[in-house]
Amino acid sequence: MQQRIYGVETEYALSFETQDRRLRSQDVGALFNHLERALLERYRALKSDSFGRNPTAQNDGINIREGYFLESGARFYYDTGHVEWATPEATTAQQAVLYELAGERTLAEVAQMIPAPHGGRLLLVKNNIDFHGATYGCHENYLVQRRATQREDQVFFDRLVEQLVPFLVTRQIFCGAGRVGAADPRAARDVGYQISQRADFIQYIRSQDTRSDRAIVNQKDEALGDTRRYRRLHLIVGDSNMSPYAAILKLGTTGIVLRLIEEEALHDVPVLDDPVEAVKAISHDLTCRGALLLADGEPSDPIKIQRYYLDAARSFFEHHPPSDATRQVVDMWQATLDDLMIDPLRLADRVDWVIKWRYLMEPQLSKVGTDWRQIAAWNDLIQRLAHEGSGKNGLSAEQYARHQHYLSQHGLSWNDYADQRRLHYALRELDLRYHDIDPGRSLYYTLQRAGKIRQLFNAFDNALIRDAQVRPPHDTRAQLRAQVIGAAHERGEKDTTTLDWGQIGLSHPHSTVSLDDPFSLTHPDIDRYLRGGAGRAARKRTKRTPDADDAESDILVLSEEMIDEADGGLRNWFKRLLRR
Amino acid sequence: MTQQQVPQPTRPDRAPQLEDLLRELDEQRQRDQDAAQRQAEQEQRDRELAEAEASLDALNAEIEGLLSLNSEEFVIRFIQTVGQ
Repeated sequence: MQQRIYGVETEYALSFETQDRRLRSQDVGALFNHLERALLERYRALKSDSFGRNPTAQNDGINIREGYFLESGARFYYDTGHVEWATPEATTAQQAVLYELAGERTLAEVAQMIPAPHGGRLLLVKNNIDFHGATYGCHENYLVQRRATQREDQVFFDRLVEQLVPFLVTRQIFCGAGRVGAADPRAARDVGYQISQRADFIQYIRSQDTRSDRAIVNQKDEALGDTRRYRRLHLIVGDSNMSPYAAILKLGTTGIVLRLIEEEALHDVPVLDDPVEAVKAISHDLTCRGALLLADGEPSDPIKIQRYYLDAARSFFEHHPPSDATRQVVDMWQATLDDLMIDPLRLADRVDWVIKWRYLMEPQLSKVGTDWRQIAAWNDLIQRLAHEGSGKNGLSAEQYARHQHYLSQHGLSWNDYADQRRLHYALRELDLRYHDIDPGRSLYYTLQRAGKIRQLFNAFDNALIRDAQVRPPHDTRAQLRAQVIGAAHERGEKDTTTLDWGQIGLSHPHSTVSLDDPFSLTHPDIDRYLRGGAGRAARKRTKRTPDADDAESDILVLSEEMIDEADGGLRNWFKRLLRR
Repeated sequence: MTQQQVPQPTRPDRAPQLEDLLRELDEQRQRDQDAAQRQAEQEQRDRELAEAEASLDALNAEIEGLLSLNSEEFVIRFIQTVGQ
């Protein structure tokens, strides 16, 4: 597909923090209710209705509240203990990330509106782990063209999986969010810090499930549109990114590789011998150069595999001129791999796992005078002690002997236990607070203010992001959703009109309208509805932020001159786009 | 017939000494200038490094100020809330 729909679903951890920066154990559902109320006070929205799409969800013990669609076209809902925000349908990676940021900004602003006792606040964390075995997702969605017959489609999808997997397994080197420790028990005593938050939870190459049996490629086949024409590829292997640069790379490079697969432009793909083990091995190797075994017995490494896809993209685009947005992604991809070849630390201004490592983790290790090998060995012991408990009078003789043996084996001493235990938890708190989305408290945004992060969207956040908080993408069916939200509010029909991604339930006339084509900007039934009565007035926006209308929402058309600029000029590209 | 070897004229003894001396003085002056430049560059680098370290120290202090007083309690409460 030359034009593709992109979407991102982000799950946020939710908690409550007191003024003295202590967390309170709270019922997350109750916290969500506060957030939802505040959101609906500020933004116009209509109830979401999946129209029976998830009939088994409640029976499976999955607690999903349908939530609301907003005028930006985004959906906000509650999914099994987490706040979930799904971007509207976007047509480029850049646009999808802009709407992901707009969602993050909206949640952060709404959380600040909630009157919390004693100066406390709702804490929203955009990460994927709780450090105790739980994981939650950042799911990516890509529209893929359906083949003519079921048989052809199955053959195509099998090829898609085979050719996409080596890319997905290795792309974490530039879009991993980074994490302290390991969730894979086999790695607990060897891994102090790793590249990806999700890697340890991946168990299969492909599966249908998202909550267990997690796979590199999720096979759920729910198009949310015309199932004869489209498939929606749903990926759950990726991390949530704080850095927009990394997020654009994640979505943009994946979109490009899908295009290469669809166009049959990939040949001799470097198929991995064991992709599931490779996901973990790459995540545990901070050099990004660890040897990987290919199915044909040849050795490779993550950067080489990424280079294979980049070279294929460059060759393909020589004969199929790319859009400006795509060309920008290719240039970012090239610059990132070039820097990785020299030293991963060169990405400390744009890739989350490196930013976190360079500015949050390393200073702590230097202060204590330790290294990741020791941290990993201590992690294992500290977690085992926490799990076993030490009884009222300390460790039992058996426990002491066993742990003493472990310490001797790893060249560690009980004398360092107190310092290492403090460090163990300090690193985890730093890790979590990097992903706090409150601009005033987040360690990511603190680093950004200190000039450590390459500026992209944030160079003009007050215009583009504010616009994306209230206005849908100009080139997808999210437009129709937004128009219906406006009209229903104007007509007093907000409690009787419901929305889904591909359907709209109207009350006057009582009908369900299918929006089968995600690229469609019109529908005769919706046009009739909008023309009726107060529909015209509905187009007036009554809850807009003051400067929303001043912004140029089309961020995707870059001039040749801009494209020719060196990678270092990216910031200027975006600034100039804003002035267009 | 072989070419006749003609003795090369020799310069007066004092001229090379003066030239050498001048060259040496010139080279010494150049060395001094280079050393002074290197020292200035080193001092500039030291200043920049000190500023960068001070800036990083300030950043680290700002980061520390955003953390809770008890990280262990913070992490355990996070697990209790989010992993429930």
